[in-house]
Amino acid sequence: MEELEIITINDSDYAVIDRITENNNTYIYVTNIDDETDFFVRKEQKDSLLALKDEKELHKALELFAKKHENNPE
Amino acid sequence: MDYESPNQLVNIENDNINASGEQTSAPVNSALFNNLQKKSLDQEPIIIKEHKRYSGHQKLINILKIVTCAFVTSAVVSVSAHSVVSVINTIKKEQELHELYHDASSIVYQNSHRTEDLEHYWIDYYKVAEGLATLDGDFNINLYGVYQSVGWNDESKIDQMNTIMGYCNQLNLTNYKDFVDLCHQNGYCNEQGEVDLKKYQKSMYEYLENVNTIENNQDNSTMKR
Repeated sequence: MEELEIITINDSDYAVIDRITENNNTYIYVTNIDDETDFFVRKEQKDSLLALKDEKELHKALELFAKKHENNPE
Repeated sequence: MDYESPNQLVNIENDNINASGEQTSAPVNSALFNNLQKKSLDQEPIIIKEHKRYSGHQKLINILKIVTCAFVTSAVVSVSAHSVVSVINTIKKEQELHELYHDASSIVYQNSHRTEDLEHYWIDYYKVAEGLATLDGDFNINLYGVYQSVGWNDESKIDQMNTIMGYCNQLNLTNYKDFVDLCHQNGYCNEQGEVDLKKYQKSMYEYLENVNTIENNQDNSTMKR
């Protein structure tokens, strides 16, 4: 059975959808379990989620996710 | 799909389509993307207050992954907001159906245990049957919730459901001797008389859709009063 990993941020629970490591950065993709339209990507560093540098990095992170899950969301 | 340039970002400002797929003045997709952008780029570090892990919940994980994939794909390549909204509506319906049997599925997770070497799981089937006895609502739907949470292939699903339904029979929750008996008596079998899980799933899905429609209609009529 797969485990569902939940992190609590500002009293809201977010499901960790995926982690992708690229160039020593681990991107973490999280979705609010009560509002699936509330999702974002950050860089994981211990118990902190750091901001992405700019839009270019956001697009890069989204591309990595889309490529990984293309036609195979499971 | 090609991902050569970040400039392929769809012009989401023009995708003014509401949840029903109708043109509106509110940029649905734009709001979603703005939220993604804001939360991803906000320079303030986010501190994780708590970390929890739950076993199982495969369906929920899949739903969240599918939704996330839909948004991410729409943000990276030119997918219309209409396609995304259509996916969201489908998933919302799936979530509503999932809610109908969620409690029963949870009983399996609550009675799943790790083996000592932490390599595998085992389920306390009798406790699952006892748990089913405590649930309100439609036994067939509750049973389907259990079905959704057990087994790793067709064969193990049937085996585990047989065991659980055997205990349910002992507890007088059902007249069926086991899951195979249920399938035989309801025609969920192939031409060779073997259990056909697809037929069972299709029949239960249609049943859940009907129950959900009735509940939604009741909710709507209550709200109108």
